[in-house]
Order: sequence, then structure tokens, then C-alpha cells
Amino acid sequence: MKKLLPLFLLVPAASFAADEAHTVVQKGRAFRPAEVSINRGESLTFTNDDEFIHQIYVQSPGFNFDSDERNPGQDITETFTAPGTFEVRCHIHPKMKLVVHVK
Amino acid sequence: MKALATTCFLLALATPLWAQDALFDDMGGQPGINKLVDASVDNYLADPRIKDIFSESNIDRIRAELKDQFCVVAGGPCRYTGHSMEATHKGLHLTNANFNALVEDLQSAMDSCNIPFATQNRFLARLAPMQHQVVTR
Repeated sequence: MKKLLPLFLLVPAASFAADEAHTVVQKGRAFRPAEVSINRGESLTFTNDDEFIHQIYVQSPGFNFDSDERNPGQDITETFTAPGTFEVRCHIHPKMKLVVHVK
Repeated sequence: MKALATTCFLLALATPLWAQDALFDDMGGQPGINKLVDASVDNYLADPRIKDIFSESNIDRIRAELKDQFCVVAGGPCRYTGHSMEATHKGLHLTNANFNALVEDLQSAMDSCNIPFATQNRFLARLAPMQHQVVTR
């Protein structure tokens, strides 16, 4: 019984991880962090904390999106529905790159 | 009288909602403006005083938006769907020296596109009010 207890304690922790809000900040015409790992079905919230207008897009064979442009101070949330490694980019600032690993 | 009224009505229908003015035509219409924008952007990117301003930007997008914007400023039949000058330039912290360099490069481009001096001045006069929206320091 004593050995089972730690397993019970782990269950809520795992649930919390699945619901965790993942935030990426757009600042200085860069994504911060520049690389994240999430689980399939989870979302990333992109916060424009920059002085510039930004947008985000992913162009890949299995998964795509192309957002509206967002002013400084605005957020946008995207759900990653497919596993794989994706590059998130900004049409306005082509050097911006975020690598997202979706397990 | 009835025929005259009908003619006037038909003419009114034929007139576009936008009033295309002479400056747009004097600049060569849309082909002339496209050529001017391409020459201007080439100058900006080659100008050591301001080329770094564009280092993080999507140049194709800038060309496309400038073509719409110049067309609108010249009174052409376009719609500019880009953002305001303030929003677009806010984070760049441009100085008067930057702005003057942009204008000089635009004037060089107008020269290379054989736009007459008087036409250049009319176009620059319409762009001038943007200075306070672009220069922020």
C-alpha cells in the first residue's frame, strides 16, 4: 500500500501538466522561448509583447494555420492537433522562428 | 429634357465611386507606380543609412503594400488594407535623418522612372503629412 501512494500522488500532477497553459511571447521580433514541447491537442498562447504587429503561421504537409495580424498587447491561441515538429513563423518578420515539438 | 436627364443618369452610373485624379495618371498609372515602388525599395535596401531598418522585414510584403499605398496617395483606384503609419513604424524608432534618407531615395527612384519634377513635387506634398506619423524620436 505504501508503494502505491506515490502513484496516486502522481495522477493529479500528470493531469495538471496536460492542462497547462503554454505561453510564447513575441518580443524584439523573436519568439521567446524559441523552442517548446507540448502534447498533441494542447494549445499555445502567443502574446504580442512587442512594439510591432505580428501574426503566426505553420505551413507543413500535415498541419497548417495562418492567423490574423495582432497588435501589440493582443494574444492568439492555436491548438496543435497533429504530432510532429513544426516551425511557427511570422509573415511580417521572416526571421522569427519557433520550433514546436508535439508529442 | 427627358433625354438629357437620362443621359446624365447613365453618366452618373458610369462614373466610378472613387474619383481617380490626374496625379495617378501623371505617374504612369498602376504600372508606373509599381515600377516606382520597386525602384524605391531597391534604393532603400542599398542605402547604408537605412538598409538595416528593413533587415527583419518581409520585403515582398513591403513592396506589395507600398504599391497599394502609393496608388491610393496618388488618387488611383486602389484600396490600402495595411495598417496605419503609426502602427507600422512604431517599433522602428525612426529619426528625421532616417525619414529624409527615405525621401531622398524616393526622389532618386522618381528620377530613374522619368517622373517629371513637378509631378514628383505633387506626390511628395501628399506624403509629407506622414512624417510625424513615421518619425518617433
